[in-house]
Amino acid sequence: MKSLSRAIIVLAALAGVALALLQQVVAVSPEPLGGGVYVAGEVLVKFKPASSAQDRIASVAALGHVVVATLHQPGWVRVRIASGQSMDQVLATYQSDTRVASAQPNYIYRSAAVPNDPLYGQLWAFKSAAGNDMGLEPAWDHIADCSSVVVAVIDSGVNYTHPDLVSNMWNGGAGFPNHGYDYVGDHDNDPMDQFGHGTHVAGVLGAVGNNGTGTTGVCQRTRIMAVRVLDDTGAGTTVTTMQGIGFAVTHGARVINLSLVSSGGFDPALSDAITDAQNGDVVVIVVAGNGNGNEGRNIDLAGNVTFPCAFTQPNLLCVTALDQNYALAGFSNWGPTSVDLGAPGTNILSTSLGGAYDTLDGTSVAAPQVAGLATMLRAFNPQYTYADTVSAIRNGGRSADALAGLTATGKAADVMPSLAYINPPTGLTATLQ
Amino acid sequence: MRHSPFRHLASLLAATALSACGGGSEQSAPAARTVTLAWQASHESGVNRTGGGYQVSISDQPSIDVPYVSGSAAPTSASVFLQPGRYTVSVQAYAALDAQGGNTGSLSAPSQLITVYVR
Amino acid sequence: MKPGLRRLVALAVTLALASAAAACGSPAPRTPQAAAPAGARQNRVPGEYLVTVAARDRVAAIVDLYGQFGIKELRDLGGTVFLLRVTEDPGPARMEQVRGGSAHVLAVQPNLVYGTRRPGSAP
Repeated sequence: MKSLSRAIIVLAALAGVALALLQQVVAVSPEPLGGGVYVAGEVLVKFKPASSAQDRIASVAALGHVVVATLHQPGWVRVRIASGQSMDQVLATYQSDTRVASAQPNYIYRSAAVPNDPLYGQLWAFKSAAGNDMGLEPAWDHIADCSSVVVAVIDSGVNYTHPDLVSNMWNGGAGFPNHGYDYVGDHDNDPMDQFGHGTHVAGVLGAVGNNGTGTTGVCQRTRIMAVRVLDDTGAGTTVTTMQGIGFAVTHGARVINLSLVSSGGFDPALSDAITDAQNGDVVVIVVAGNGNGNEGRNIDLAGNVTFPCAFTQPNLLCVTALDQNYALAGFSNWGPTSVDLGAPGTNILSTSLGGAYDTLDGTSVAAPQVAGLATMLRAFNPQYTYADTVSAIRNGGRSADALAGLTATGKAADVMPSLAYINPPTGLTATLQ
Repeated sequence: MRHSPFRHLASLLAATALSACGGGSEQSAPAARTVTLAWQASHESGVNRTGGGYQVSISDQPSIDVPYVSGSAAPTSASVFLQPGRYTVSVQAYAALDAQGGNTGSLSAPSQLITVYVR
Repeated sequence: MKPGLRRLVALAVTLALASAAAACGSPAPRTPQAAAPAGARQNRVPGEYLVTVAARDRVAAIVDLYGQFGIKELRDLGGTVFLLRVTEDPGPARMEQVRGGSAHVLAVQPNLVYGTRRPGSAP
C-alpha cells in the first residue's frame, strides 16, 4: 500500500511537471513579422489525440526545438525551430513522426490595406468595381511604404506644401531645402509649381496614403524629388530637361517620371541624358503623348515619331492611357514598337495647386501610375536593377485586348503580378570535378 | 623451327600486362563525374527568404530543389553526380508570394539552357 | 590688343565664370531666361543650340565657327556640351552646314521645346 501511494505521488508529480512544461510559454522577444508569408523560425504542430504530453515534449525536444505555446485548439502547439533549419525539412520531419497529425508554417495574415483617405473611393485606377484597375489593394498588404526609394518628378515643379504631399517629399538637406531644384526662370532651389501639372503627377505616384486626408498615391509613403523644367505655361526645353535629369541622377533618384513630349524630332542631347540615367541605374518613365483633340496617333509612323517615347534605351518605359473600360483612351497615342504598356489615364483625381484636388485626363497621368509601380518594385526588392524593374513591369502586366498590337507588350500595368514576378536566373555554368 | 613454350608464355604474360596497364588496344569505360552547377543570385527578395529558392532541371533526371535556408540569400549552386552522357540543364527561381498576393508561390521562367557533356 | 585676342579673352572670361559655377557641384543662379514665347509652340527655341565639342579645351572652335551669327551667350552645361545663343539665327540646317567636318565641334542641335498643355486639355 505504501509503495502504491508512493507510486501515485510520483506519477502525479511527473504529470504536473509535464503539464507545466507543456503550458510554459517560452519567453520570446516579439519580432517584426516582416514582409514574408510565414513567421520565420516557427511551425505549428498538431499532435494526435493518442499522443501523451511526454510524447509531444519528446518529439519537439528531439529536434532541438522549443514549445512556445499550447494553442486553444486541441493538439496544436506553436514551436520555435532551431536556427538554420529549412521550413521544408522541419515540416517533413514532423509529418513523418507517427505522433503528429499535421504540421504547417505559422502563416501571416494581414488586413486588406484599404487606406482611410476620404477620396479613395474615387481612385478607380487603384480599385474599381468592374475590376479594370491596377490592383493596388493586395499589393499594399505587402508594401505600401516605398520611402527607401527616391522618385523624381521632372515637370513643372511640385506644390511641396500640399497637405497630401508634404510628408512624402524628398529631404534634400541644407542644399535643397525645398525638395528639389528649378531649372526654369530663377534657376534656384525652389521648384514650387505654378502650373499644376507636376503637382498632379506627384500625387498620382506618391500622395500620402492612409493619413485621413484626400487621396493616396500608388506608394502611400515615398520620397518625391521635385525638379522644375517646365515653366508656368508648361513649356521647357532640351536644356532644362537634360539638366533636370542630371540633377535627379546625381542626387540619388532611382526612378524618374517625365510626363512631357516634343515634336522636334530626335534629340541627341536628351538621348545622352537618358543614357546617363541608364548608366546610373535609373528607370525613366515617359509618355506616349496625346494626339490632336480626341484622336491619338500611331507614333511609330514616320512623321508622328514622338520623343522621348521613341528613344530605345533599355531603362525607358513609355506609357499610353486607358479609360475606365480599359479601352485605349481616345486621345492617347500608341505604337507597337515604342509604346510599352498602358495604365489608367482618364478621370484621374490627384493633388493640385492651393492644397486642392483635381481630375485630369492624359498620358501625363498614366505615366506616374507606372512610375509609382517602379518605385514600389525597387523598394520591395532592394537589389533590383533598372533592368529587373523594367522586366517585372512588362512581364507582370495583364493582357488588355485594347492594347494588343498597339503596344509592345499588349498589356496594362498590374501591380501585384509585377511584385510577384521573378526574373529567370542568369549566368548558369557547369564545372566537372 | 619449333616455338619454345616459354616464348608463348612470355607473349601471353606481356599482352596481359599491357591490357592491365591500358596500353593495349582496348580503353577503360568513362566514369561518372561530379558536376557543380552555379548561377547568379536572383534579385527578388522572395527568392532569398523562407519559401524561396531554386529548382534545377537536368534532362531525364529528377529536378533538384535548392531552397533558402538561412542568411542573406538562397544558395546559388548545387553538385550532382552524373553518369557519362549529354545533359541539358536549366534553373528556375521560386518564391512564396503569388500573383494574387497569397502564398501559393511563383516560379520564374527557366534560365538559358546549357549543355553538359560528361565523359 | 588684336581683335582675335580680344575675342579669346572675352570668351575666356565668360567660360571662367560659367565653369566656376558648374564646378561648385550645384548650379549657380543664372540670368533669368525668357521662356519660349507664349503661343509660339515652335519645335525649338529660336537662336538656341546645343554644341558638343571634342574636348573642353576646344571651346574656342565654337566661337570660330559661329561667331559670325553674333554670340549672345555661351553657357557650359557640363561635360563637353555648351548652350550657344546667337543673335541672328540661321536655322539648324545652316548651323550644321557651318559645322562641316570640324574635328573640334562634334555636333550641333537645336534646343528643342518640350512641354505639356495646361491641365484639363491633356498633353
